[in-house]
Amino acid sequence: MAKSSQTGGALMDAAAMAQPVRAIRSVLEQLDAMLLGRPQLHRMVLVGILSRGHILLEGLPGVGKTALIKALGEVLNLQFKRVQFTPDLMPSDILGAHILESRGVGTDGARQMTFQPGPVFTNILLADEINRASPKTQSALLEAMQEQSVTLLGQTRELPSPFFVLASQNPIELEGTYPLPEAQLDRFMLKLQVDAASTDVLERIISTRRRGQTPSPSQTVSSEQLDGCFSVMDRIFLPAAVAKYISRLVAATHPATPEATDKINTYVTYGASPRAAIAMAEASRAHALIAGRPSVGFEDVKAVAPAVLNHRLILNYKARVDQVGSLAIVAELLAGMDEAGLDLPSDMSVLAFTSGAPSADPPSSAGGAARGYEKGGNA
Amino acid sequence: LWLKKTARHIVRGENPWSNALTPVAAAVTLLCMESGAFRERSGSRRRGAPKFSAVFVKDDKEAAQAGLPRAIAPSEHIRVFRGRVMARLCARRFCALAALMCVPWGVAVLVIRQLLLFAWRWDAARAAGDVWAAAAGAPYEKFLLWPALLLPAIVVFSWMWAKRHLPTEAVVRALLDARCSMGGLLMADGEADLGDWRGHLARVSLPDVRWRWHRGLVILLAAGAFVAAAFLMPQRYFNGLARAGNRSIDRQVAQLAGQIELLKDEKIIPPEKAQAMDKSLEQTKAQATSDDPAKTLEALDHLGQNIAQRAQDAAQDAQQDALKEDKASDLAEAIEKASQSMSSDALGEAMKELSKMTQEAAAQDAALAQAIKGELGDAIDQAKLTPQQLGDLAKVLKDAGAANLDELQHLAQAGLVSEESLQACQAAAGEGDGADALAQALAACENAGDIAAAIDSDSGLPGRGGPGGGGPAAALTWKDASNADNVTFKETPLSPSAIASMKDSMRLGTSAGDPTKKDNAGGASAGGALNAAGGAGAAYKQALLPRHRQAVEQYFSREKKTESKQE
Repeated sequence: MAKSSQTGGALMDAAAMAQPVRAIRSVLEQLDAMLLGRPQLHRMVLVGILSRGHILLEGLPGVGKTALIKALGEVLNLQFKRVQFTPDLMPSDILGAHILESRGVGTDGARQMTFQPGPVFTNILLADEINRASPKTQSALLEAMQEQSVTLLGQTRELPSPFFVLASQNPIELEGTYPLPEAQLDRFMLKLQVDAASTDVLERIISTRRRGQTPSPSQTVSSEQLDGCFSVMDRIFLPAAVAKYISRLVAATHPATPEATDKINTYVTYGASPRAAIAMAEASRAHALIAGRPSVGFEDVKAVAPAVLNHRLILNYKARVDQVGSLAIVAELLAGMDEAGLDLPSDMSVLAFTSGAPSADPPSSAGGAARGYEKGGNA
Repeated sequence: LWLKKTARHIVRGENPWSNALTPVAAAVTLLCMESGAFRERSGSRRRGAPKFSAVFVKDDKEAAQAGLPRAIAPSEHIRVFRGRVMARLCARRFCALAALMCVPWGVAVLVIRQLLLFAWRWDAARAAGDVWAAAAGAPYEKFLLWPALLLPAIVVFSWMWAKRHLPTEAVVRALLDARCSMGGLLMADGEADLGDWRGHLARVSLPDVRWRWHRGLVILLAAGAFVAAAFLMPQRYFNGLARAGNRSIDRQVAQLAGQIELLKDEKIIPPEKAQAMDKSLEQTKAQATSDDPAKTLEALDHLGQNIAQRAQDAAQDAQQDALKEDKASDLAEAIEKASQSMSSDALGEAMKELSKMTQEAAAQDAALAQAIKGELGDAIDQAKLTPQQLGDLAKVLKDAGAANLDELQHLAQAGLVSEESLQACQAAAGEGDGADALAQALAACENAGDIAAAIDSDSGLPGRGGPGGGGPAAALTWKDASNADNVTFKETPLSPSAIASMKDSMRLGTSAGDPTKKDNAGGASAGGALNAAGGAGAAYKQALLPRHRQAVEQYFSREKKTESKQE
């Protein structure tokens, strides 16, 4: 994709963004309507989709992980397959297998090996309880997730585009499970926590949903629209200062680096990989696109950083003893780092605005944010 | 609102001047509004409607169509913000560097002033300093101000340092973007063409930069005060000896000045002499140096001794005059009382004696001579005094004696005459009723030749004893001297002196201070040469006054230096 805007060109027009942004907001509205009470989770899942990344959902049974993925497949009008991972699941059960097949009626003894594609040949693969499969089976997804292709018997087959792996895992009942290896975890762009619904949401669910069935989407997104979104994603401008901020964030996750926090130095054994920086940049672009902006801001990075980094920090035993999670470490890192890198002396600081505090909401094209001129008055 | 905001700035320790232009801007804005510079889109304002209303436009084009002013460009915000940061960084660095410079500057001033104090002892050094000062065209103390020339250099260096550490435009863009929640648009503005997104940049506002200047400024002021104190500190404080010596000199000079004034008031010394002594005292005070206080103390001692000697002489004169005047006064009263019973020859002889005594007293006492001028003086010269004149003369003589006693009393109060001398003189002057006894003695004289003896007998000389006061005193006769030739005296050996016992003694050490007396020690005995108060020999120890301490310490310190050199 051409990224002329990154080299001193022009930002894309607001009009060019309007159609994809409307489609994205339509998807969000549909998801919010189908699955109640999780707008932020829906937004982050959409960030992962727009970034063409894989998502690991972690939550207790019954909180709506599978329903969310199914609803997403319906709204995006993408092919959706589900694999329930079990300890006896084999790679061929996912990738597919060659079977001996006769050529047809009338041909004597003419048989050949034909490839029977597995469930991985789809747009959205729901890997339910992925940590229950053996490492061998888990590793079968490595190539599919990274290369978006499958190689069997020396023959590589491309997976449908787009291809997403949305896996779920249960944080409890760890007996008989196989924790995902770090290489596998690193291939998931986002790891999202699916918490239990609140009382109000539960009340709305049981009041409006018969047997908990999610309604069908009233509007879906066509593949052309989705391609348009992906195209716009490539034109979201990533300023150099934001790229530097992402780099500093990822570098600071490694202990003993200049900007590493105390918690990182104490509890982190290994920090995030360069893949994390790439993922964070892409996710930030998607977040900016959802917000209707043509450029990535610091707030986009801050919004996606916890989901990108939390599963990429390898904590030590001390963190487990002190019950310090990676999310707390990332939160402290985000709070302590000056995004602009102003580097003023300790007795100097930047205060609040001297005239007219700006609004907290970033500019958005879809909202038609206007520039206000106050003509006197009692402001 | 402006006052409230300014007060808040002051309370928080922020720069109150940053708010100074607010009322000006408000006034200009109001004037613009009143003059119609801001026009409402809806045209003329309805009666009773709000005077101003808010108009929202999307971009500059729409704003221009609406007749609204152009929004401030983000680059202008960035420039202003960098200027603020630059100013604060420059001021901060200047405070630190100036304070850092002031400390060694003040120390150097103190050290150099102290070194100059020692260097000027040598004429060569002083001459070199004078030559250097002449060449430089300024007193040599002025070069201590030369480090002040570094201040502009520090300003320049601070500016360069601040410029070097000034955040780049990209960083400021990032900061403003983050603070204003611009979503990366402001950052993208520096790297790409925003196109129709540029209108959103009007949301950029300018944050203020706060520098907690209190600590830096306090340190700078303290360092500056230190430099000022180093310059303004009096020269005498650079030497402890000078400080202590001058204090003692001040006290002693004041005491001597008072004594000179007293001598002048009592007319013991003429005003010219008093002025010369005052001048000498001032010179001694002015030339007092800390490096050789012995000279100053010696000069003051000499002057004090002169004053004391003159006071002693004057006291003796006054005492003698008082006695003479008292005697003459008694004689005058006695003549007045005994004039009826005396023969004319005796009366004339007594008058002559009175005249002689009065003239002698007047020759010594100018006040008395002044008092007896005129008719009384003529009568005294002619030795023919009427009873009335005798009474007047007695009174004048008594007053003159009292004046002499007063002078003595003043001298005693100034410490120039001992209290014992004053009391003895007062006792001699007021002793008994001399006039009555003398009147009886005069009345008893049948011949004129006995008058002198009768007067002398009342002169306080020996021989006036016996019951009832006795008669006239008999003069000692010195005649028929015994011959001492060929007379042998019996030789009586004297008791051995205590010094003899020291022959067998051995020196164990020399004490630096006075020996301490032990309670269980024996009675007084000859304690050697240093304290031979109770035995034979002389005490060679001279009591040292506190003012001699400096000289003595210097003497011993020189000895110590000599010893150390020898070692």
